[in-house]
Amino acid sequence: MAYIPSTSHVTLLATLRRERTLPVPGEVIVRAGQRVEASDVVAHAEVSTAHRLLDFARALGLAAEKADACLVKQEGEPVKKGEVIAQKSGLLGRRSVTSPVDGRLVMAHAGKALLAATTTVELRAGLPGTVVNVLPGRSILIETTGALLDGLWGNGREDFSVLRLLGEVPEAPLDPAQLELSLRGAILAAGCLDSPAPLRALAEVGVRGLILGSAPAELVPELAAQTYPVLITDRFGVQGFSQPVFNLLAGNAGRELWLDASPPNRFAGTRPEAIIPLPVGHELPPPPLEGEPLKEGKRVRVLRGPQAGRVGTILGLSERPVSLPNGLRAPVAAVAVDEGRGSRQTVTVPFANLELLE
Amino acid sequence: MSANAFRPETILAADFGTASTRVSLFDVVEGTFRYIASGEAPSTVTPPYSDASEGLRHALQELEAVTGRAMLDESARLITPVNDDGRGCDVFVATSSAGAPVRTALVGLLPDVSLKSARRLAESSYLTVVETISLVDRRRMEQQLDALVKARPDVVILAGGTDGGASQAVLNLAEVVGLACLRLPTDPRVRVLFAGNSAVKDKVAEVLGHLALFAPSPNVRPELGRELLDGPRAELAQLLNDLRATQIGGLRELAHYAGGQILPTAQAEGQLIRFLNQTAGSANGLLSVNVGSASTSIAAAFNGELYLTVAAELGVGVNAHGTLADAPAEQFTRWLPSALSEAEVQAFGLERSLHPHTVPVDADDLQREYALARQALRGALRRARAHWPRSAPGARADLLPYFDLIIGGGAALSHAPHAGAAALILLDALQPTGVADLLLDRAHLLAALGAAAYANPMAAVQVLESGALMRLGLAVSAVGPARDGDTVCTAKLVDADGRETTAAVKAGALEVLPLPSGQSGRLTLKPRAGVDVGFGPGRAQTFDVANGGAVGIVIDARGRPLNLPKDPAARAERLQQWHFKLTGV
Repeated sequence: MAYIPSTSHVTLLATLRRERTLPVPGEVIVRAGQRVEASDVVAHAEVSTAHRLLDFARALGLAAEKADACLVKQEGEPVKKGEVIAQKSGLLGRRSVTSPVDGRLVMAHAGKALLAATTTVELRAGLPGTVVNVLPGRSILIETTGALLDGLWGNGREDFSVLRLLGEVPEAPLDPAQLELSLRGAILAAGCLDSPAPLRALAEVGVRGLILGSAPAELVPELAAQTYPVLITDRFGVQGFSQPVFNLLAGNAGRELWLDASPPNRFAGTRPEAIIPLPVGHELPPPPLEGEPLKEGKRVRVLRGPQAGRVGTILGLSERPVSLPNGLRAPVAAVAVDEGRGSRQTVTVPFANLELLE
Repeated sequence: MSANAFRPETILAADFGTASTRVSLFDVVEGTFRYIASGEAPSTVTPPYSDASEGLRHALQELEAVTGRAMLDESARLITPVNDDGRGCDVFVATSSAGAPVRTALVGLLPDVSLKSARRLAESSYLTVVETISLVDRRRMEQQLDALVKARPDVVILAGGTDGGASQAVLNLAEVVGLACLRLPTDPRVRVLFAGNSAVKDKVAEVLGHLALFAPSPNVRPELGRELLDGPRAELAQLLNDLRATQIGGLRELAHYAGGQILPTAQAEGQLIRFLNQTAGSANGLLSVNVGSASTSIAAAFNGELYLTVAAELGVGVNAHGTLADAPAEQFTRWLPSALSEAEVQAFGLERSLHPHTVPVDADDLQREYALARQALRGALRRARAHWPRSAPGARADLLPYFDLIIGGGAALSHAPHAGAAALILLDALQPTGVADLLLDRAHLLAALGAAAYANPMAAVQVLESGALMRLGLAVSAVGPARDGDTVCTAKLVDADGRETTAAVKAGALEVLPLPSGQSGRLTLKPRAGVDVGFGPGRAQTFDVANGGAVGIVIDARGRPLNLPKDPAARAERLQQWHFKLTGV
């Protein structure tokens, strides 16, 4: 039976489809077939931020069963702060109850009203492309062509801007001295972060994103707290980019890039990623390969053990489990890992510790 | 049952874990149910597959490769009952621990009564409690509503009121839950399990029935001093079943084959543990632990009562980071023979969680995996013990009660290259007292047998009696005052052939008296004054050991609680000594 490992995309050109979904049902304002730019608002929705319960029967001095007749707003109707939602007229004049919030009257029953303070959220396209499907009120599907880079970890933010690569080699650490004001508004890529020192400089410059090959695990809380998207592509530590990732970024420096640093979620099947939109001719390139079996000639990244983070090519696969140095038994692959400058070293790696690079 | 009634002979069990899908085949051999073989494959419950049946198919292919028996027909449908060619199975049972964490809100009247029972119910399954609301909650009703909406629960467990007791307060809470349901996403709709005052069940259903997927359940607290979890647990299992069927493709069809339900793995294991405890008739308890990729479960039974705890955030794979975050880093590193910085621990936890399928390749990495298993077990045990009865017999209230039998399971234990390593993890993490048989569930049979017991209880008993679980041996753990170098206990083993082995076990040491599986012997234990080996302080005992094990008889004189040397070099030396004693390497 073929072994199917996880796949990490370092894809130079593919047709990509990404769903953009509102957090709650709302309104989609684009249509299928429409061309959208990254900053275009494609949908919006009203999100409740807090709720208020009003006992308007008591406020009007009425029995609960009689109070509902005094409502002047319908369930679901928007309300402004200070706007009357119920009132009664009597011999001594009018008594009214007003909304304490800007929002919506959610429901009213038996003299009580539930109001939601609301705010409007806008959903932007995020990346340029063509809307190929619309789920009314919920989501759209955007198709684009370009390079795809899967990440390991992300801090939950996203942005779209120009990519700038810092450093000449994959392992180059981010040097605060490189952070000139000309980088303001750019998404920066650097091999690694070896200390938290550059983070303040990045904030001062005003970058719109950061792509790192690696960063020490102890810096993760600080990276998570940044207000711009942060993506780690390869490993935790200070090893920097793997060569294929560095090559992809170097080849696309200066182009616009969508950085979606959503945290990896295995149950949703999502992982952080960067997409660099690229023009193509009439024929669309194929979508990225997924779910391919492990086989000779495939490019792989080692995920665990002394060779972790190294990239290589599969030379052969064992047919049966073999004993590892620690006594465990597992099927293994012979992998020629890249040593740099064209040289290679052959190592043995359990199938389970490999991911395909596509 | 009539003599002609259908008695299933071939039972196929499947377990869907977060990381692996396993199948086990049981059949009648010479009139007795036996474990035949297993198959295992990576689970396909998450994207890009999101279909449990794909992983099942791969696991069945492995099973077929071992047994030569096909379970699926040409259309990849399960063959049932067994056909004339001997293909297929008579009964298919399934268990599952797979899926995203189930976000759960607990709503009850009093924290120490209904809410406590609701929490126990939640902690006996794969739920993560994200919000709690009770009558003593100082937040205003609208703040409680905001909290529930913000928590975005998948499930709400609403409890409160003894049967025929408080009703208005329960209805008030139901109103808060109802308002929250009104404001929560409707796709999917939140599920509400009502396990409170049964007298107001219909009124609560009126409030919630059209706003949520409402599941009435027996009361978790029918009387103030009486907690009943079995009925609510069964309803909760069904609710989870329905929820998972909406999240994971293929489960609904598989549940159909499995008689309508896929049991939570921990619950199936727990059922079996309770059954074994009931039939054992011992005052001592019975314990099973399972360290999984995403969760760790502890099933303990005392006097026929099951105490089931699932630590849904502690695991050695997907939730490795949760396990490491559960305690200071030194709690983890103390089990390692070589130093690891806090940053390296963090990186290990993060990468382990992001790549849960990976395997350790060298000895140091394997020790990290074992340390993680110890840590997950310690954390889960701490949670579990909070629910155990104080009356359980034991050497000291602060130590683990006496268990006649301890069964370890989960990939970290079952894949250990040496049985002694699995035994050492159990001894280090659980720190048993007295005399306990140690078994290893290498083929992940407990949940399968627990589920199979519903179809045929005798099958489970006969399979266990046939030695399907691996016997590690007998653990004798000494408790009492002693200084390093003192002889804590002398032990003499006379095997069935009359061969005698003796050991004078010193404080801080582990000793092994070899007694292979299938061999019996007579063991004499003479503890030092004040030291208890399970029969009272200073009391000697001679008893028959019916069966040895892959490790033998382990005398653990390292003390309880187990204190490791603070000096790193001394600690590393001790760890190496203990590992060598039990594994020979």
